[in-house]
Amino acid sequence: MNAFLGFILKEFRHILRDRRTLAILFGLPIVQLLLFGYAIRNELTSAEIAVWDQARTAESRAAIARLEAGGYFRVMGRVDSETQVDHLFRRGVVRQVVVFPTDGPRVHLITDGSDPNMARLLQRYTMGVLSDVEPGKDVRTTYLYNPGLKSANLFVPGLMAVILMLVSTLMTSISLTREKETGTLETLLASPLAPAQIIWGKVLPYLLVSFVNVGTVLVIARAVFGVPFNGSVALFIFVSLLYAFTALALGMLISTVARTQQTAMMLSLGGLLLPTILLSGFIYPISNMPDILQAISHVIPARWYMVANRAILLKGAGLADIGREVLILAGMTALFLTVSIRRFPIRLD
Amino acid sequence: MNAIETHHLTKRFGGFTAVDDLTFSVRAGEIFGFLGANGAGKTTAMKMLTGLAAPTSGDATVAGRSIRDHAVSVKKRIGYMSQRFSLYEDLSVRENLRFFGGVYGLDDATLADRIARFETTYHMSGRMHTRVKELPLGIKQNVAFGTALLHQPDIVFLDEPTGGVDPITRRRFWGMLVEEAARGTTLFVTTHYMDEAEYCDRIGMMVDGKLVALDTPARLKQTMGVATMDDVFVKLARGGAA
Amino acid sequence: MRILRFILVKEFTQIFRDKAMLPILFVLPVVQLLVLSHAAVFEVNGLRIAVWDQDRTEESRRLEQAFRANTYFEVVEGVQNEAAANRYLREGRVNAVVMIPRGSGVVHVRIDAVDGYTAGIADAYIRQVVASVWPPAIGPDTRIVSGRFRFNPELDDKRNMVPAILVLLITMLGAFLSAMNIVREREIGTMDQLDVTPITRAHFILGKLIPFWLIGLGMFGIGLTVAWAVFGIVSAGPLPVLFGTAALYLLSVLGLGLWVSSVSDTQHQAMLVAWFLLVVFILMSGLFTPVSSMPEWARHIAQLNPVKWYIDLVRRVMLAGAGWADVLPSVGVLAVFAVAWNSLAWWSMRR
Ligand SMILES: Nc1ncnc2c1ncn2[C@@H]1O[C@H](COP(=O)(O)OP(=O)(O)O)[C@@H](O)[C@H]1O
Ligand SMILES: [Mg+2]
Repeated sequence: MNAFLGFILKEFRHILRDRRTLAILFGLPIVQLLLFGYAIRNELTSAEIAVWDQARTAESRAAIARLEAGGYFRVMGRVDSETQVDHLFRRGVVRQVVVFPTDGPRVHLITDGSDPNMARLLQRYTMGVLSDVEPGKDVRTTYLYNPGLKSANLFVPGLMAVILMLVSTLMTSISLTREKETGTLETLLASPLAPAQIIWGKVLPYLLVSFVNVGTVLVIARAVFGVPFNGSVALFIFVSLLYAFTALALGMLISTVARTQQTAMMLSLGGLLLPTILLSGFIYPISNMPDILQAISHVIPARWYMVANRAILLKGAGLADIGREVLILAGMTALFLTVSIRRFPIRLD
Repeated sequence: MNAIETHHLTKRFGGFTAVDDLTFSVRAGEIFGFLGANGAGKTTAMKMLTGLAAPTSGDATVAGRSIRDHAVSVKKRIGYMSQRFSLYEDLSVRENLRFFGGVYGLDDATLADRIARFETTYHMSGRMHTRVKELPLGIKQNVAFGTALLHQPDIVFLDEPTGGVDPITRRRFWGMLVEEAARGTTLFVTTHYMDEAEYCDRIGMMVDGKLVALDTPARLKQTMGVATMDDVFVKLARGGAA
Repeated sequence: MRILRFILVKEFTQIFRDKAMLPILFVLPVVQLLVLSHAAVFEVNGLRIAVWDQDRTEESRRLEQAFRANTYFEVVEGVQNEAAANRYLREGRVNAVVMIPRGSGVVHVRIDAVDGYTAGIADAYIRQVVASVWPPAIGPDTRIVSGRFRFNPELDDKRNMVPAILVLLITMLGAFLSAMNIVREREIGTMDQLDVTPITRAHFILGKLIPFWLIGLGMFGIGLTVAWAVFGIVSAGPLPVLFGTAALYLLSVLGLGLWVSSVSDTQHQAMLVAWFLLVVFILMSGLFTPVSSMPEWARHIAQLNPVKWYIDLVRRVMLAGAGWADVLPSVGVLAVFAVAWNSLAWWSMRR
């Protein structure tokens, strides 16, 4: 046990010694959450468009004024031919041209479809601003859990999942490979420490680092972005720590597989970054994906965490509501740790 | 002609003076031993002479050019075997040789010839395709030495080349150094094994960054009135500390 | 030039020596390209709704029928009171509850907005269905807005995602490899050995750049082939523009990686910094959420993001058929990045 404590202390020293790394470990999550919390949003603001006013009536001018005033669009200029439209699109100057034809009360939109996400937003917003068509019966919509449809409420919980995942995996993923590369693994192997002790000794200090990160991320979400907090703080912290633990264990697993730090990094970053962003439900709703992808998304830890933390924060869910997610995360953690311990090199080659 | 000349060569790290006002010269073709306890400043001095670190003050010429010039022409004339074993461990012996030889500008024919000669000199046939990390330490040191000599430099710097090696392998290694010196190569070697000092033509003793003695091993023993280099070392080290 | 040749042989040998590297460099990206390109589906299907009909009139039943007939919706049974409505929503069993109160002219819709995007779409679809049962009164002032999409009329997300993900993959490949490389030599101690050789800084940087540059371009070619063979996506614009700009783009990314590497003390540090930069680049690239939606200061930061510039450029070439003349301004920006970052790497490379 003494040897184990000594080992944990050594790991702590590694973490604390290098000021630069320390600053990065604690600073990055904060900077990223602040940056992305503001920058990642799906509401349209100042999208570049052009108008093609063929009608030149008081009505069309009024409509153009409405487009300019709404805050959604930036009218970059006027066009008067199809070739000009093409030219502007190809140079990426504008994303949409609003055409007012001479005949009737019609408006026609030509939208650059090369960015489909943007194209959909543009047409949806333009129609909203210009058309007055409403059903013959009054439809009153209440948005539950996120009344203003605020992007921050949608994206900040997702960002927590992505940032915690990546920073935690990263921390442990090269810890063993570094020892392999610098030759200190030999010393460890010669010591009376059991593989399980070495693995735990490497994971536990980082769990503490993660705890601090979970705390700061939570404070920022609440204080800066005003993300509602309808559930219990303790439950949120418990689930977040469990999730960080899953990520640390995954990093450990990568560390036992890779031979060099470079390989470890390519696996933990090159292999994890995009799947975590794309298949977790962070940006694209999982329920819309093809079945195959929905199946694959089950192995992405961030997917489960995101369901759980959105439920706690926005819906005020209790442990019973998110029992499945908690169990899955715990199961993944146990699996990663067991395989790491099994795969741990007992001797050098 | 002198291979190396230093003039008040000094290196400070902050307020700490690691190399203090060194002035000495090394003759072409001699084995010059640089002795001193750990931390005496040997590596730091050598790093300045090989151009890896800039002096804080003072100057030195190596192969006739100031070390402040960083001249490529000088680099081609020196070889360096660092204290930290530094071949590419993930490359084979042959791949390392080809890389370093090529980098020093040897043409294909010369390179092939030198590698073949290396193979026989160091009895490496059958091991040329082995990854360096799989070699025993003594062999690694031979390979590192052979690599440093591949471009036939005039001056070779060796920083504790025999650290951690058994006495028999060390003796064999010094045999190679003596042979190499006989061909006219200048060898600048640091060590803290006092028995190795006997192989050197002349010895410089470093204590706390300063050069406290410089002479042949025999004359050093004579002037200090002791029987072995060990005693010379202990006496000088104590004197320097006082 | 001879020296460079030997450096290149050594770098390539080292890259491919680690057997794990080959699949990581070429298989992992292809798999990701194949799988992840399907992830972006903004088309919302199978919205689960419950219809809670208190009115029970001819008209209200017609509305329920309209929802059942609509392929976008899947009607879930069992919501006939307030408690059930709340429970179904909270447990995520339905996306929305449509409630038709007795005898009023209103339809109440409650939508689970945890996923705000789906919620917005759901609202729009529900309104369309309601309008089909109670048609809008079209007056003289009503504007009818119609639209079409250029370059990608069906709004096929894959035509956008495949090239964009390919760009992200070669970016990660180049940046991570180069960021780890120089600092690795420093950490294992071979840097000193190189420093005493006649290798110049230019040799050294070129020796590091060229292998990664070729690997990146190779991956780009493989990716475009996959895009064509698997997804049937061919570039509308000329291929030389694509490859020419890819070469320039990779040069800038590699320069950035080398810079990170040369200012780092350990591989660990280099990795964390490279990771930070890449996450920022990728999330702020405009691929997932529009750059124009960002607040102004963030839009300024995004101007320094090579990924944003290059994804936009590739999109315009591959989908809109842009040629050299159209992309010239973006090429200029990429060139500035390439020169700036490689110069920084050059200066900060301690000898
Ligand atoms: N980069 C450095 N920064 C600060 N101190 C250093 C540095 N390099 C060496 N030193 C110090 O200079 C002294 C001489 O070191 P060194 O030349 O390595 O000694 P030797 O090779 O004789 O054992 C030591 O006290 C060492 O701690
Ligand atoms: Mg030393």
